[in-house]
Amino acid sequence: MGRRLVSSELLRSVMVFRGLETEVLEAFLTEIKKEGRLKDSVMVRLQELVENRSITKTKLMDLIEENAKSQDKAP
Amino acid sequence: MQSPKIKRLSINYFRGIPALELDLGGKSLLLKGGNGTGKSSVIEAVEFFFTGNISHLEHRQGISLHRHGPHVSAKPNQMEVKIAFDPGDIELKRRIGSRPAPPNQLASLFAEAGTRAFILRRSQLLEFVESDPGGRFVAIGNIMGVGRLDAMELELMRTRDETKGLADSDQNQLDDSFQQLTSLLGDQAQTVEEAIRSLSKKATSYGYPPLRSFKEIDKYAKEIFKTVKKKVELKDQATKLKELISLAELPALTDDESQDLQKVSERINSVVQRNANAKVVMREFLEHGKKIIQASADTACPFCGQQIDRDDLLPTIEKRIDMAIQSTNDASSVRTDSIGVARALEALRARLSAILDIAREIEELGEQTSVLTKQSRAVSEFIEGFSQAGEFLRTIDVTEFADERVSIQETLEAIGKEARVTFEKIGLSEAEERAVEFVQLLGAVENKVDEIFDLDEELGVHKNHLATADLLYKIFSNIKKKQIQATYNLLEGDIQKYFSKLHPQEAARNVRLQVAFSRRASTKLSVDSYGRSAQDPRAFESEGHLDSLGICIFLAFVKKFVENCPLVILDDVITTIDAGHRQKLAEVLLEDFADKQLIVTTHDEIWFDEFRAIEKAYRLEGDFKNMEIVDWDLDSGPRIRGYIPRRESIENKLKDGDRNGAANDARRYLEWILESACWALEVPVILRRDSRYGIGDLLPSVRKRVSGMLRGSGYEEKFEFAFTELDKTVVLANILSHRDLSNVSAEEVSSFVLAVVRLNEMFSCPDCECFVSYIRELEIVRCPNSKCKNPMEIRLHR
Repeated sequence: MGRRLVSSELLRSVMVFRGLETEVLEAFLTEIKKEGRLKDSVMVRLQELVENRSITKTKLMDLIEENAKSQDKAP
Repeated sequence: MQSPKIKRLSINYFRGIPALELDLGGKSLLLKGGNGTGKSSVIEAVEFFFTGNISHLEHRQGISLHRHGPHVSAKPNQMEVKIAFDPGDIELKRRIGSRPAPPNQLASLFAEAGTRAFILRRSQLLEFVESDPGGRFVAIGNIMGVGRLDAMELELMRTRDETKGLADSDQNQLDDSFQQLTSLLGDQAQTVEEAIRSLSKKATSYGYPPLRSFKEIDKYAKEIFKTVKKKVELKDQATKLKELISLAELPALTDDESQDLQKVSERINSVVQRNANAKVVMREFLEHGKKIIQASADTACPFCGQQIDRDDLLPTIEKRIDMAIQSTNDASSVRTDSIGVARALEALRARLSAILDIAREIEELGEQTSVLTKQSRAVSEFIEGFSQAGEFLRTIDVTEFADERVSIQETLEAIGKEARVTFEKIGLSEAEERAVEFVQLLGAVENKVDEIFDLDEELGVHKNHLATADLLYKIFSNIKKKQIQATYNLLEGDIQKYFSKLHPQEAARNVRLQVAFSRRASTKLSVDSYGRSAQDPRAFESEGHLDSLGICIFLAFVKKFVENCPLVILDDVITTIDAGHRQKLAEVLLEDFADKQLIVTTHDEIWFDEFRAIEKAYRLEGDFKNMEIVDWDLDSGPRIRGYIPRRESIENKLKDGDRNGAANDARRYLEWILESACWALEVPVILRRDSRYGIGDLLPSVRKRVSGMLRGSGYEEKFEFAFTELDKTVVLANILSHRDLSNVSAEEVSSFVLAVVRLNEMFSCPDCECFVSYIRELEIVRCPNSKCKNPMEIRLHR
């Protein structure tokens, strides 16, 4: 388990093949936006997380809770 | 713009090479050498230059780049690989701890080459074809660079799992609460409406008016309470005692909850134990790394040689290891299941607290209250421990808690018993007692209904979270898989094209790579084989076919994803592939990868010669450096020289007076011709148990086959003449009678060489020198080289 992690994620900087990665991430954001489930402010935060490649469970949970709260506040 | 290529490769104190300079001049390299002569060291030097590491030395206990990268006589800081690129004659070097700084025009080359995706070794072939779908996904994903997408998908999945766990737990609790409500009312109560109807029915049975809504329950209870004539404080005490009796009647934990606790704890302990083991190994690993960094005051990673931020490296590795452990499927499911158990424990703590609140006001319960206070504290401590264990920070021992649970149960029974005695002392009439009992029931039902409303609200929130998390995960996962599948679809044509070139007119067709949509990271590989569609190739194909399929997958992906790196390296990958297919592989490389700078190593003399012949046939011999490693020793490393044709090499030996060496080389030359003829003309040979065939085994079979095959074609006599000339030589006679070759004269060796060369010419196309091949379907013997301008062709007469 550690073996794979060290080789593929930590020690090797994957800076190339941005084509496929970028395509997937852009399509993901477009599709999520189209679904309309996320409020604008939450969508902006998700976009930041995706662009910075810094998605973590904790950050996603915060984002989802914030989205639910803003849904409550919606008229 | 001309793509950059390697002009010169200089290797110093690297692996088995003390010093070596290869002047490639931007040409491809075909390198022949026996086992242990340093072929792979040359490839590893190129790998080290671009990646800062050597994959053979990675992740192997007790082996490291620092210790095993440098030549045995050198220190790590002496190890150096320099590469000069053309155009521009830009020379860059890599050492342990210092990486090359490529100028802008080489940046994209370095970025792609840094992933190591341009090198194929035999061990990797297995990952493409023979590994399980998960392993295959990782192997192909490494070329495609989907590692970061995988990491993101994993985080999205974990978020979905957590929200699902919370929503599932809410739903279970809600179901339990309705069950408890049903039990309190003694009648069906699966909805709030049903509960109000049951409660009204109950009221009627007690002789009270029906209740219309839960909103008026307080007022309604007060009215009933007025029927009790006792003093107010006694009435209050009676009600509290009734509530206490009711609370104490419930078990400390239900049997189901207790079993769930036991099961979840065992699974937590298993994950924690693995976590601990991994941490011990990792701690040793890190400590070792720290010592190296401190001792050398180097800013290079001790594991890979890359430049690193020293303060950042160790905590990052520790964090990543924790993350890897947390993200296993097992941990994910334990996390989800432990939410329900944690809630059951919290409910117990809340109930004990409620019991203590009442019991502290009742003097008669002083002793039990004191015991239960301690027990309640123990429950809180256990919950704290369970919470930490749920994060896999420690193990949890449920044995002690099981004993505690029995003690709590005993205390609750004692409290219930004492509360009943105290209640009886108040001396209520039967009607009053029923009124208190009913008021207490109203209170319990009201609490339960409040709990249900709260849970229902929480469930709504968690379902909302789950819907969002599920949507994020599913959309991401589907898009990722679709894009990868689209890439696979795009490449299937190339894979099939290469595979068909290697295996024309063979059974396996329709090579398909398919993302397994039901799994997170998995790739299925299938072929149509022997009339059956979509078969796992491992089911029907030979080892050689599987290896060549792996090569085709690699080549197709390299073609697509390694666009900016001009290098394609094949390090001794044709071990299990037979002669005919090897020849076709050389054709694929020269037809479809002519724009690349190929570095191909082999220990196989036959393939080396075939490859050279095909270079010539494709008029590409000027684009290649054909070299051979003739010798290796520890102090000098590999001795590499440009390839000298066999005949010339043998004649040189004769000129130098090395008769024995020349005779042996000529013998090996004849063996090679006969082996090639066996493959190319489908010559039946007698099976040998040890699979070792000498000239004595092959020559009669080849001669018989050629004679029979070519009868009436006009070539029969020419071949027979060549065989007869060979027969006349003393050297052949000595070989066949296993006599020593050291006593033969130079003239005898010379005539043997001439006979062998003539025989080779008979089997070679006069135009391109490719070894001819029998095509059964057309009943011809023909030059197999599709690029040959004037291919030799012999029509067979049957």
